[in-house]
Amino acid sequence: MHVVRLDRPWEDTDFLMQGFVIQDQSDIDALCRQCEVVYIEAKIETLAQHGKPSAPPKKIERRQEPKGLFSRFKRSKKEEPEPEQKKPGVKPVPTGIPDANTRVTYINKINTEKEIEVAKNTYSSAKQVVKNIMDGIRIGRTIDMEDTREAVSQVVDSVLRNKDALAWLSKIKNKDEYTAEHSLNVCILSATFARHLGHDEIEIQHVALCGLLHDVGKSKIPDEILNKEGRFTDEEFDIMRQHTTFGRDLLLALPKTDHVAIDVAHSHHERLDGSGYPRGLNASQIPYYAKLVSLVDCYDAITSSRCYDGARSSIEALDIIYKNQGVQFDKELALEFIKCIGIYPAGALVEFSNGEVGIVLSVDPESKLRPRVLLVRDSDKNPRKERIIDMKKIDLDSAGKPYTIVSELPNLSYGVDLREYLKKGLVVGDAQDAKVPMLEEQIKK
Amino acid sequence: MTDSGPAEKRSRQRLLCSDPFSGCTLNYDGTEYSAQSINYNQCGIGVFAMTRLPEQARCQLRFCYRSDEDNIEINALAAERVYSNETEVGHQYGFKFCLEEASAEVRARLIALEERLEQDAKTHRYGLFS
Repeated sequence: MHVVRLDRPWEDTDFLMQGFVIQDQSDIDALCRQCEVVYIEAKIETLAQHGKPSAPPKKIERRQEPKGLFSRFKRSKKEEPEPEQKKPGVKPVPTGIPDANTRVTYINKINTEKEIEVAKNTYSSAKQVVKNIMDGIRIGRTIDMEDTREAVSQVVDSVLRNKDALAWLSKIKNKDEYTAEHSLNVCILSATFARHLGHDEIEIQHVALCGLLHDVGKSKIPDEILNKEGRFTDEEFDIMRQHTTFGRDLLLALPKTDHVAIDVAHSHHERLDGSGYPRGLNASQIPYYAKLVSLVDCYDAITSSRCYDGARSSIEALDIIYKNQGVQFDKELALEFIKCIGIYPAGALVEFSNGEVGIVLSVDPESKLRPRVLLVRDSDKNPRKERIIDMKKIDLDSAGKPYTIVSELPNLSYGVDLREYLKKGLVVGDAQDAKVPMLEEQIKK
Repeated sequence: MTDSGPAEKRSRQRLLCSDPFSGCTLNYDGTEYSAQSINYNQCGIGVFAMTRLPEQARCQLRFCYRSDEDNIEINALAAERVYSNETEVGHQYGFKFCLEEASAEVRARLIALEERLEQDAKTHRYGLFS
């Protein structure tokens, strides 16, 4: 049974958390001593009836003196203001897409080929930070917000220098590291999306932090569920869905917490039409950053492989987002997100009408339907001599017909692994002379 | 759970389901489930649902395309699940129609529906890019 509210302020009681699951009679006794009425969350009660723990079997903490988390939090705020409150005149968290007057326009300061080398290090160190957060929570450590903010800062710096390099790397996914990679990918794509929307740098840092921490509650889900191969039972799925509440509790317990990150961790599965969870909020109740992160979360979840499911293509994820604009997702944000990702994002695997398969190298923002593509499979899906085609110019196939893309495929289709092409030195992005000869040599070997 | 594996086996591209074609009802042994129709061709359909569907491979589908000019209804069409992608953000399923069990008239309606979606497609999917 999940206690969500008391008949008095939490800080007047000895409960550390603002909300907890009753574990045993001593918790009930403590409640009886201090309250006459308590409020419980019915959904959690239903889960408990399935015989599964509705929260990790961890004894709730209680303070000896009647000082709850809230009073500690209020004290810490007085003693050491949060970074955004240190500066006088800091503007509030945005509640929508920047308007034309406040919108910031960005250009790539460095080309993708150069940035990708830096981005590889940024990606791997940020992934390690996420793993440390997740592993640390499992053994009772709190989140190191200094490390977390530093990792986010590096991600945002890279996205501001070049929006494509980290996005490229986010396409290479290891199903064994899904949770850590997904958190990082949502951080990267949230920053990329916020840049696309014209948010300023501080706002991009903030939304990226929310993206990185949005699934932190999954560290409280037992490994045997998180890494289960095969379909979840209904009870396991219900436990998985509790990660939003766990995430809120974990972030709430931090001494220097971030209110918006708490909101996003708690609300990123809420949907405009009230069909989301855990609270079934409606459109006006869902914070703006949670609406933004929920789109990115949906996109990355659908395009990722898991222990139990294969990845779907980018276009299938965009189809779902498009069909749910104004239903589950904010309409304006959904359409902007589709524009941000594009039909054929760099790194996408595409199939042509003649059966050949290629990797999208770059897309001209003015001509998003005609990308530059590296052909890697022939019409029988066998490895072919690599060739770059630029669809902006009329490139013809061996039959003298113009190349036409018919579909986008998930990574690994027909044995094409993006990771291998990156390792081989495939030039990504905007350079005109990709290192194709080097690839051709390797194919010959 | 999925047949998608690394290789995409779909022989025809699926078209984005336009506004006149948004819902799909799936019948599993008499129990009905609602889902959103996402993409379609005359051989199969992709749907998305917030509630998980039963693990059973076969079901019967009901959907319709309804516009001012057209009304194409499909009822009790046998279909077989070819992939599922069940995540915390929602559940995505692909179904292949059991065309060999469908009448010639139903098959003609499935083709007509594909043609309508082709017409509905603007310059490109989503109509956002040129």
